[in-house]
Amino acid sequence: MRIAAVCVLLAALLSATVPSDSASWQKDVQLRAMADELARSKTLQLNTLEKPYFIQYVSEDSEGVTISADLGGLTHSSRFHVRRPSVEVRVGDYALDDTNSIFSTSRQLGLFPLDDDYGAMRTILWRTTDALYKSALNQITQKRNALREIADPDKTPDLAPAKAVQILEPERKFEVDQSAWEGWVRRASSRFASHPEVMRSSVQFRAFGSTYRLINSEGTIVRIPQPLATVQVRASSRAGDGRRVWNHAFVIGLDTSALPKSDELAGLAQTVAVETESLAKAPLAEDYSGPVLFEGEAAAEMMAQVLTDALVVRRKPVAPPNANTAAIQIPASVWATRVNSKVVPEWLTAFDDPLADSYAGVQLAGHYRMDDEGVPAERVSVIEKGTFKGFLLSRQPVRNAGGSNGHGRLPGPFGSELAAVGNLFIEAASPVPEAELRTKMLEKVKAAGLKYGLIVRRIDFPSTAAFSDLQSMALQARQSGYSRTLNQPLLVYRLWPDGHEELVRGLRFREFSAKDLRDIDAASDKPYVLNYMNNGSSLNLLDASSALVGSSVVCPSLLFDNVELTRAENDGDLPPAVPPPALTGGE
Amino acid sequence: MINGFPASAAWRAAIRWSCLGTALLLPIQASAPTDQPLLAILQGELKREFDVLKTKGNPAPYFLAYEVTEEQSDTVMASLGALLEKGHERARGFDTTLRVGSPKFDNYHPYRGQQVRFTTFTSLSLDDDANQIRRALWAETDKVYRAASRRYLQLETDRELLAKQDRQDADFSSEEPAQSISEAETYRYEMAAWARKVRAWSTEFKKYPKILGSGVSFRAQREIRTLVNSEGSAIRQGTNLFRIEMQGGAVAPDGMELSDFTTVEATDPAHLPSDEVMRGKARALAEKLNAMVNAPPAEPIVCPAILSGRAAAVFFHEIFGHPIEGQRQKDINEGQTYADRLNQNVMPDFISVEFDPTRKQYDGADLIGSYRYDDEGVKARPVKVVANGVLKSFLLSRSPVGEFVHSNGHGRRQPGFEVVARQSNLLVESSNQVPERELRNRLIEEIKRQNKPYGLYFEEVASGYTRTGRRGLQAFTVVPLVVYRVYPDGKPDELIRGVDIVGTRLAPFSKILATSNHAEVFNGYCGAESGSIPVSAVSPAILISEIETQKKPNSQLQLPILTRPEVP
Repeated sequence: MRIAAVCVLLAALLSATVPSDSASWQKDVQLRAMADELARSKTLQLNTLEKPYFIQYVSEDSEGVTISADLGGLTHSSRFHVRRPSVEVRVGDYALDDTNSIFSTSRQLGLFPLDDDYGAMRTILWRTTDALYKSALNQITQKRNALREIADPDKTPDLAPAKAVQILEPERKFEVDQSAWEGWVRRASSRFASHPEVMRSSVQFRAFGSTYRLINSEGTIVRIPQPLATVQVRASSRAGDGRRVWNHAFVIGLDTSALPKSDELAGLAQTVAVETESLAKAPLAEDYSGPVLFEGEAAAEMMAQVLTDALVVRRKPVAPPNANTAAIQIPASVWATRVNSKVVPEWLTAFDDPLADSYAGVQLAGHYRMDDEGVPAERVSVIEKGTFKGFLLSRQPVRNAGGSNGHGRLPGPFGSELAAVGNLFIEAASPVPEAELRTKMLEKVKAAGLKYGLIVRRIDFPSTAAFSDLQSMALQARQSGYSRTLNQPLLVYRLWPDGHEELVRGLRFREFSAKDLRDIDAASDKPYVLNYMNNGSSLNLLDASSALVGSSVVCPSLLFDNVELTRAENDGDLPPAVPPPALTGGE
Repeated sequence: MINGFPASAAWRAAIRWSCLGTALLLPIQASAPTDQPLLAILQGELKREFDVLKTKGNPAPYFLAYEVTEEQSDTVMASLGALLEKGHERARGFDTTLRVGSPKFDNYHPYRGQQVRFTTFTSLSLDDDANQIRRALWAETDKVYRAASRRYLQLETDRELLAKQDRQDADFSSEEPAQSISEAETYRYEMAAWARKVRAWSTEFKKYPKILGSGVSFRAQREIRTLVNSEGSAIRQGTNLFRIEMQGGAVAPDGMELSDFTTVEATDPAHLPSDEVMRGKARALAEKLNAMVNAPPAEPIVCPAILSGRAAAVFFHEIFGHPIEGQRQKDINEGQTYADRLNQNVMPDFISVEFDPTRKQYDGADLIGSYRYDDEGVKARPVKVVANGVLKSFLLSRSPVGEFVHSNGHGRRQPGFEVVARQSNLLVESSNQVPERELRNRLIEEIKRQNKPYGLYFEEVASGYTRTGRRGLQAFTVVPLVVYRVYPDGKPDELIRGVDIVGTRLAPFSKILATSNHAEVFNGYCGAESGSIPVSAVSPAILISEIETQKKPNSQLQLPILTRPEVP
């Protein structure tokens, strides 16, 4: 509640201070080139065919640094600066245009000059617009042809109108001390040299400073910074039976001030190393069905995964009848038809508020003021007292949901923009202290006649699973007949009735989705702030897509009545014939 | 294929013979050269791995090699006077070669045209960190050993299931171990100055609104390879490459896509042409491309032709160089065009062809297909493949072919690929040379003799495409970029567009009538099974009695609806 009040105030402040005089954007060469070419592009018409009804130009001016190290040796260090334009040309109208069909292609990407060269920029926009206009004409015809054969086509419009806004924030200088970070990353990675049981490890640092410019034919002009910085520590090992275990730690923030440096980073690597070593030695788990406590980080990771699936609607593209392409087999949100229905216990409330920039002193990576379609971010009430209130929306209309609520943040399929989580807050009306959750779980364990309960402390989210792990996971799900599950838990502990914990390895969740949130029994009074990298891919597989945004979930520990986990069915590998080389000089 | 517009991703596309595909490869940083810590680490871990695997492995390996590639590169690219991209990269990684079984029969044995790849280019520490390097070598060796054993055990059974072939070549030759440590020259170059230059040159295209896309780039690249093997070879060698590329694309009124390019390569930045010369090249390229837009389209014809030295160089590279790569004589799925033609006439007797990786320059131009040792540690040497029209040898890696039981130093690869026999510097020599003017007169005579309306002059050609497999037509298509009609009646030469040369592999050579007395150098990147590698070809212009051309496909691209924005 307190947070909400702050945000409203913040929003009021911002809207009051936003500069919107047209003169100031004219001083920005990129915006001027975009505006001038856009004005000309509006006149595009091929013979007697229809003109574009909507044109949007975006330029992402990105600088970045990437550094990786492994066992104290630097394996990568680079810096880049590119300007990537993205052009959208729509023909038709808001109700029916060339997008949202299987014939629709994504927006063209190329390079924009690094020099502020007005003429070169306009030339690039001119050529791209021309090509995209022509393909839009082709695509809308294919779409109309497909629709002619569909008896009862979906009448949902293709683009939600948005109010024109003009927001110009100053450009931020991208400053990262590359050599200092090289030293910190290298040193942190050398911590693994004292952990010979860890077979593979890496420490990576990435920082991006991006200025996002957008201008469209509706009159919106935007210039906003979009920074992101992250460190990740990854490790894997092999247990005695040859099965792979893996583990990681991510820290994400809007700039490097949110990241651990020096000793703190080395400490993080050390923790991951110790955990991974313990995992390799931990006993293989058994199938389990009973109470599960998702503690802190794991509760937030679980929520991030299931709510992304439930709150973001991926529209089914128009396709000719009987078309059976993979593209149209996108699973619908599990809450697609549940608006205004009870979906979770009524003491639970959830809202997404991108305007919040920190929580309890922690910077929130999902903070932004304008989304990628030039729509101001809005606080969206998602669940009120257990009732589902609505989806996170981009300008791609969804059922009767209305217009964008400022969550269009990732490039989507078929010319759409995908909504993504900003800062998702999950609040419990009657929380209990952490310790009490353990007591409650043990009571349930006893009542159910079980030997122990399970505590999940980390889920593989974003996922760094190896391809073989994913394959085996998909196979296992298919064999058991379910389509939705959670990423594999990485740190799972048995909680025995005497209160002692035992780390186990090799468990997977069985079927699990937002529907299971009905079984939440209790929540703690200690919210955990999870900042994570979000690429919108299924399972949020790291590196599955180059588009990235920061997102946050603030969520307390959660106790579930009953969750099913099963032993991962991979076979162990025979260990290498040659023993690993000895490591020297670890810290 | 030419990538009409340079973009970083496109630069990495491996193209059979493309002057446009800038080096792939994975940049790196020169490491401290003094006490060779990298070499010592590699040798130590190689010995440890090999000793254990030889004793405990079943099947046991008989050969193990690591090749580390470091690359450091700087790139700038501009279009219409504005810098589009600048990049600096450095990376270091390694390839693993492990052979189980015996040299006579091992895991690389060719079987039904399977493309095998055991190696993966795996990242290594840039700063000679022993822990990281040893662990990476260990993990990768294990992976490669497992894959090698699997294939070997499978092959042992599968070969029994096949009908025996006449040829029973061994899989791996024995070679003398080599030790050689050298460093590439370190050159100074100022990227800010190069950025200014590429910007300036790229402005030449501004004057031609019909040129829809254009770009100029400069790339400086330093590469160091370190190779160790279980036979005791230890080789370290480096190369520098400086490359300027210019390219443009346009669309003819009938929708045909047109493009042209020019490149300059040097191994020392001091060898690159002056600012004035490069600006002139940019201007000439833009003018020619602009002229091509309004040039008449080609029609299919069979007629005599002259290929300029550069065009002939590509021609030899494609239709002769590729087919004589050793592995193509062994694989049952290959055309084996030349397999049984040793010591027979394959060209007119006035033509000889040599591959010489030890040659660094030709007539003042740097040859980029040079190296001291190949990627199997075999010393580079000149190889005369055709002497007075007679086929004398193939290009050989350590994979023996018939009577050739030793490598001739042509085992090459791009990091991340398996080594096969590849080309180096191809040099065409001719004993039937006439001055250029005389060659042209001979062409005109030939046109008249054959009673053709015109002949063709191929000034510039781009990527060729060679199919050497048995399935499908064995054809080559070099892609001419700049072609003129030469009329017998003294009418000026006429630029045309949209020509493709077609032909089967063997026929064209018998039709070479004469050559000019001035050879030209073509440097480029050649892509094949073992990835994209730098090569050179040097040839005089050639007069061919008969060449067959076809029309290039027309993509019917419509010109932009609006004119290019008018900007100051």
